Amino acid sequence: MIDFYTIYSQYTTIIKALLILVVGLIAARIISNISEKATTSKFGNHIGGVTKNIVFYVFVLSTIFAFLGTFEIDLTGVLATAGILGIALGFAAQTSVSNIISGFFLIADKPFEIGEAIQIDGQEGYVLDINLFSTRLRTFDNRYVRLPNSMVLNASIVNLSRYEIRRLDIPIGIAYKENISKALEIINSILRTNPNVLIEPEPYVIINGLGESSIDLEASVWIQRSALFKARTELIIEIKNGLDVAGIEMPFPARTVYFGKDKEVDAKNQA
Amino acid sequence: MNMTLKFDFFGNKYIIEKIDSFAVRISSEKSQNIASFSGELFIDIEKEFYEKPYLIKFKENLYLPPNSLLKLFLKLPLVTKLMLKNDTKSMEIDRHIDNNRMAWHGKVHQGMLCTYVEAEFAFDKPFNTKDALVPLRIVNKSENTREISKIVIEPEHLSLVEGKNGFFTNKVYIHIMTSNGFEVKYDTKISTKIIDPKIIIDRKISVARTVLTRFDKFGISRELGL
Repeated sequence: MIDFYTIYSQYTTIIKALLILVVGLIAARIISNISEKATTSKFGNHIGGVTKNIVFYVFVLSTIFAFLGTFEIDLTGVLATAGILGIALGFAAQTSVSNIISGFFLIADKPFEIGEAIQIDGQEGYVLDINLFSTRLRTFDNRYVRLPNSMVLNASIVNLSRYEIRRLDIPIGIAYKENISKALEIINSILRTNPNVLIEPEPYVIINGLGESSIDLEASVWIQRSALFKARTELIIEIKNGLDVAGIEMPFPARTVYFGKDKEVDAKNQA
Repeated sequence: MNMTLKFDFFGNKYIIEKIDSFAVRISSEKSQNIASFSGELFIDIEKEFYEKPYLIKFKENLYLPPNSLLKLFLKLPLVTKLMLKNDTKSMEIDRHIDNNRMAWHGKVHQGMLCTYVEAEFAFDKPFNTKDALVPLRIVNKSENTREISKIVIEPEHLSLVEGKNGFFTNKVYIHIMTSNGFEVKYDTKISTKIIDPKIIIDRKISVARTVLTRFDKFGISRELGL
């Protein structure tokens, strides 16, 4: 005889379980998106993305437990197994865990944010994304680079986008026979008239020392970050042309070599 | 239909000619463009403040005894825009900027980029100028005599007005609060009343963005994040 009550009850359980699964997954998606928006507005894209992932996986896990619970599966055993499995996985996935923890430290430390240009371990580029395992960059020559978070955390990071203005230092060498004051006057006038150079902080030129083949000067100017390369090119051209017009020589490294033979001849001549 | 406008804008010669009912060709010595424009066209000049704050260096330093007030008129440069208009819309063709030098105000890691202006001032009669005149009040609220050589004013706080003698703004109050041997700290207040306004020119806080992008030979600096 067919037990309609049992069939009805089984079907109800299955429908209930499926309902929990579907609603749970939809809720996980919606709530994680909301949490992302809420945290992004306050803490930026960086933390927003990670919060979204954490909230999503917590909800998915809870949904799976609730789903299994409707079938009256004893979760104690599952959890115990999961614990043992967790330890085993922990040993097996040390690097991944290290990356995840490093990811959290990077988020807390905020050495850079998504969209900023950074220099890290010989790689330069824009930060595309920071997730649980890795930081992704798009290099300036358009390559995609994935850096593990543990490596990023331990590396020296230079943030190229943090400040709006940068100091540009241009080394200049003039010949020993030249008049230093005249050279300084010409270079100063070039620095002060270039439209890319900020009037404040004031540009200046210092004498760095007496080099092997030249008197070493250094011009320092402050430039808007966006105009740095343009300004460097223009200033080098202008300084070179300015010194050329004034007849000031910019020597290249030169070395006088005495051959042993010549030395003997010189000694004989002296005698 | 063959309407042609020829004019000179700060030394640049422009020719604007109608191609058909919906398009015009804008030619200058440097470039040639086509724009969608219908109806009767005319050229207009508009004035506007620079977008960035002004770092104004006075040509002569000012000295203020304690608890004193100094009233003067300051000259602030304006951006001149060349506009192509019809009855319903307008388009910027060119803009002339006199002061193209910039200066940084504040510490190098936390300050602001300003338009650098070396400004003249007058105490009684306003200048006969096409720049904006700012009625400036500098109040020394500190207990010592202060020397003022430069100030910073944000254009967002200035309303531009066209009066009998040209453009001017509402009053700006600079309150000197404290100072030490290196710097003077002050706050800025702007009056809400505008003196005898004729036409109030809308301040353009947001700048119109063009849909076209162009690559210049130094565009690489953007790619390098600098």
